[in-house]
Amino acid sequence: MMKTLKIVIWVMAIITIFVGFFVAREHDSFFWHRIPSMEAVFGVLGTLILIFLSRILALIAFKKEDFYD
Amino acid sequence: MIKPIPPAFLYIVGALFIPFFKGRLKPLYLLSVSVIAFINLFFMEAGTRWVHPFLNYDWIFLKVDRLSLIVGYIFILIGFLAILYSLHVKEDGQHAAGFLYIGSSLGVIFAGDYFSLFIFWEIMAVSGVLLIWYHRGKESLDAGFRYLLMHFFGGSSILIGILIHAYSTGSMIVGPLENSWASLFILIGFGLNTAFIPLHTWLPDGYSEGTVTGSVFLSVYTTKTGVYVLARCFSGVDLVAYMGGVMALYGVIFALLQNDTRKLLSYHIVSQVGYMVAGVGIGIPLGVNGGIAHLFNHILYKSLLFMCMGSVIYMTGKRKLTELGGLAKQMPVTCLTCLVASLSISGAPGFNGFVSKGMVLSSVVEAHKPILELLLFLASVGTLLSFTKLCFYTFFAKNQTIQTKEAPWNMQLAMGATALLCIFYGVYPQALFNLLPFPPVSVHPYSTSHVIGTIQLFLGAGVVFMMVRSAFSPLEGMVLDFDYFYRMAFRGIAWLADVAFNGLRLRVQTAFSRRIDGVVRLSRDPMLIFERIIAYFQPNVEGFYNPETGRSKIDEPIYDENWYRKPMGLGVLLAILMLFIYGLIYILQSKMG
Repeated sequence: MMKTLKIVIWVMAIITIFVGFFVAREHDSFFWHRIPSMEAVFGVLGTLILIFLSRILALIAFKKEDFYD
Repeated sequence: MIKPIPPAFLYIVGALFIPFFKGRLKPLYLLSVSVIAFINLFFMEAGTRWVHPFLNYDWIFLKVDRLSLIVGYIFILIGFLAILYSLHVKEDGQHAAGFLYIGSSLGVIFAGDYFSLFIFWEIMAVSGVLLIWYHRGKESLDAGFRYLLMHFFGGSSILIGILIHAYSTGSMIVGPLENSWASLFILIGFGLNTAFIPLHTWLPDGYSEGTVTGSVFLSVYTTKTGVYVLARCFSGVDLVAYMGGVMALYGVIFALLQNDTRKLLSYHIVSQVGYMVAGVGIGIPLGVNGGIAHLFNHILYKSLLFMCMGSVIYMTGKRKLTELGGLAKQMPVTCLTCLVASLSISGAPGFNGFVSKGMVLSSVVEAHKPILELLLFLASVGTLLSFTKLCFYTFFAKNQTIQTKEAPWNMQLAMGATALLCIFYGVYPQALFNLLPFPPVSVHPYSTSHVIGTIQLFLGAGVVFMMVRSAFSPLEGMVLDFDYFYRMAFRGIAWLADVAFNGLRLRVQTAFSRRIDGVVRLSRDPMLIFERIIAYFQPNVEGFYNPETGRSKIDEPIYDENWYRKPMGLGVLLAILMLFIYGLIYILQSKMG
């Protein structure tokens, strides 16, 4: 089940990234709007950035549940 | 034709009659109040007013325009569904608190003057805390007190702002505020309810400790009234727009680390309200429309999420991701509706969040704010990750230890109806566009690039999630937030009052008591003077007196702090109340007359 899901996600990712090169952009205000399939890059980079930020936060502020008691 | 009355009154007066209905009549009564309120609102048109002159002042309890109408509609609609969800609750007090909370929120929405707004604002704070306290237990009691303290601080700030505003302008009509001291104080108060960082800590603290049904109410009203008043008074303020971006990102980072399901959802309220605040702060018609559309949609999917997690807690008694799992087969309706809500909040095409989130992002681009767009994009990714985590670890992760069944029929019905509304407004957004404050709305949410872009974002994040899933595993523990500083500061104040000042008082009292008691004893029996001299040179010998209190140990009473606290608290409360009423009458008579 999980294996099939993984394959479907990979295949869909490749297809939509490919399609993204041929789709007219809605906005053209900032430079990243001109990069084809920019959202896929945002998805990957954003996840990595969030993992990084949440790990830093965990290092600083993650405590036992009875911390205030 | 019957003249429309303020919807707030229907709920507030309606709360008083709840105990008179028993048996099968009670659910009918509880639901019918919302139906009547909806019909009442349906016949109101923009421009309807309900003004009551009192003490030379016009109290505007009802002032209708497109902005208040759309918020009123969704408040009453979700009020109906939340009441349906909580029909199994036997305690009348909980229902009454819910009614007061809905009523006061509607009071804020339709208030045309600042004093009526303020009074409803405070009723909202007090009735909201009851929904937390009814959960009972020490955690809820403590969280409720913290909630109340912060909201009273916010309320006081608003009152100061209103008074300055009244003296400087002479106007009390709710509307856009100029940059001034008055607006700063009012913004702090409004910002606290809207969960501005770092004034947001009451939200995850309180909402995770509310009753199962109470948290559904709580997730809807307080923050959204905050967004509404920001739209009314601070639309187009850059500071507000960027605060929205910060809230959106801050909320998701904290949500990713949460183990408590309702705390995770609460941090996502902060994040999602950030989108609304950003839209409203942008101030252009598309931004305000987007912010209010997101408010409308968010109320649907967020209350649905709280309903789903409430059902899980109600049926399993567990609220931590580390203790949950494998519920998909045992609670299929809850699982399915939770998936709908998760897709909606993540902004998946076909669900309501997709439409309004796109509007806010478009407005940010239109207003040319690149940093804000990046913040909101990042928050979108975090939202998807959080809800993938929530759904996976609640419903699909392996867990053989939990044996349960689906929630009661009324809970399932409420969840099902709310999920259908999430889909309805996703596939037919025109129904929502027709209600937005700035018509006409020429938005095309299902453009090819928007749909493809969103799917790409989902798949990009999904691929990384699959590769490093362990990075998202829930952990036992808690994350400190800004409330750490508040708590430490209050502990410092408590120490100063108790140990330092009270200690000094005790020392002085002890010293005086000893001298006086000594004189009294010596006057009774002058021969004791020799005993005292020995005691002075041999301090280790156990004396007659308790050094802490300075009293004779024999007749020392048992100290009960509540015995002293209660009359003191009551006195302070009455004094504040009287001061407020006096101030109100004084201002109304001297300034408004």
